[in-house]
Amino acid sequence: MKTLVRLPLTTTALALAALLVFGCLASMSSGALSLPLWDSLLAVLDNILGSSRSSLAAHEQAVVWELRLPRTLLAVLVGAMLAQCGAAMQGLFRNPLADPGIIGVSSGAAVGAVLAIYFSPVAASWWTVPLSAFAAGFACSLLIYRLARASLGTSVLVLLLAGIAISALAGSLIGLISYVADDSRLRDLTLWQMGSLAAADSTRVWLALVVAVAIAWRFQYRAAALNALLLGEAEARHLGIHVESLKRELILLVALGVGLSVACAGVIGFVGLVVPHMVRTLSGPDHRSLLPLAGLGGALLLLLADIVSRLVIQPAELPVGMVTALLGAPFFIVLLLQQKERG
Amino acid sequence: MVIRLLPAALLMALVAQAAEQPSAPTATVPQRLVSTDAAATEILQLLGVSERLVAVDASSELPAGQSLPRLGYHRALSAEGLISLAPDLVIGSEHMGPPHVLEALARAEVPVLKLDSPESLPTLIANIEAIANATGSRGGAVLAERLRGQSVQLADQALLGQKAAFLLRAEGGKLRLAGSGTAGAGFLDLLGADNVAEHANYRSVTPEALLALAPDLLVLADAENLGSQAFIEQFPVLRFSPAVRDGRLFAVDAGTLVAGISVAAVAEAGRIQQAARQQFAEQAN
Repeated sequence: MKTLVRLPLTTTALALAALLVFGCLASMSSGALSLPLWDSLLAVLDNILGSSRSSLAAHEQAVVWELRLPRTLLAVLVGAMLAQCGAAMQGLFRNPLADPGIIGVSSGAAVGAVLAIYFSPVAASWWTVPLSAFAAGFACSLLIYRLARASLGTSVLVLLLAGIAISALAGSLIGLISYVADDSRLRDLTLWQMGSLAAADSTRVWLALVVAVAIAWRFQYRAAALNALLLGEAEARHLGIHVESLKRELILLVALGVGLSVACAGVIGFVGLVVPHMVRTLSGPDHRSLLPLAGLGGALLLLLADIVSRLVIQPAELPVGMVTALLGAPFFIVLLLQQKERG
Repeated sequence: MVIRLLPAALLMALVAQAAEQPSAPTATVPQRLVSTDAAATEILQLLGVSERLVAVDASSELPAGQSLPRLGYHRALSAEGLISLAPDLVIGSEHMGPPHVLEALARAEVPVLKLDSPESLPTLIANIEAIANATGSRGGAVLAERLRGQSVQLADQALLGQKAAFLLRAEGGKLRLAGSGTAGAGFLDLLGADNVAEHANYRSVTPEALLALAPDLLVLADAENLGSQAFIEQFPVLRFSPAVRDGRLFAVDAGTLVAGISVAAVAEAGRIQQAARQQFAEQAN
């Protein structure tokens, strides 16, 4: 890391925010139906104010208000939550390879969803699957935390290993259920694990909004402590930080944030891993700026991925988790190569 | 493929004849159809109205030369994608979804025709009549009548009391035995034989397990249509099963059973039933 050119913070923040606004507009105006942007925005305004300024037909207004708007908002909120949780986990583990799934939320949630898909009647699956995913994801991360806790405090190494072990167990349970499931349920299992924002509705958006705001606030409150933790656990303790309660709070927040994301949209990979990295190269490792910028970046990445997923094979659509992985993985490789050159 | 297309071609001719009669007023007849189910797409083709289709799902097979936008998997449809096609009627199976997409279609006032999966002949006939009614095609009555005739004949010639197994040859040469609720079990019902499988859905079986079940009749379906000879070469131990030993192993075109019992599968059932009866009769002599 000899000569790292970093942009001024405000420039980065403003650029990301501007891109996010642009992304939202693009998301509101792109889809299988071609609708003019201005009329689409007016349709949103009409629905809020009860006016009738937009010249769109009733079914086109429904597409904007009931399909595109919740979807755009959910993409922003889920993307922000995933990226912030990723930044927090990378800080806690002091390891850039940590992603929010490391404490077992995603794999636990996947087991919960798969069990619900297999056992619950199809008609009830719209609420049993998200609920069971959230509950199992949360329970799984608590279990991993309990496994790693000892009388002398929680060992980050044991936390990591417990996470790997529980994820392996979860993987085998999913395999077992896939083996006994019939063809249509098997297909549902596979699709669920690819993630999709297509089921966005007002319930999900409100839930995601409340949780996203809550965890963003708590993360920001803990940003200075995360900075101290970068020096090492003992050093952070000497700086007067209660490391044990910091760990517990971070794990609970990530379990909440990722658990809700997974419940709303299935498994979406790479956002939590790649975005904090990108932001760190742009604006440095200070968590006070890293966390909010990662939130913006995650929202932007997921929004763009969702637009791609809606457009590439219309009138059908790709699962968004596949798009984030397809876009994110090559980007990540380029990033690694660049860092290697910088040496 | 030839076996499958022959009755279809005959039917097309019959239906075309019927279609020449004066048709219903065009104002009420939907002109932009979407099918999200392979079985429904096939029926639309047999009724001669497939040129009104504007999009189909991933599993539907279209006649050579016809190319349409694909809607992907029928349980993961896109609401906006469907609405953007401005369909007058969306036809699909009971599995079509997810539910929020159907709600969006209802709010956009797109009519949806939901059909049961055709796991039996009466359901197939009901589906044909429902599609013919909804699309205003006159060929439905001819087709339904013809199938009722075949149904009577199949029941008349039923292989009562014969133990049968329906095998699907899956990826990597694995064998899957059709249990209740599958198109394979529905096919054995058409023959009037008893299914040896007691489970639901398809389940993997070993040749040894098949020997233990000792079916009198084996129906084999595989995607590549390799035929019964290749099958015996792959699982030589099955030559000791009564069905193979006595020459009652029959291959059926798997394409006719992809989306439940199809019109072509009914014809296949008739063919296999006759051949099996002949074998049983020879054995008795």
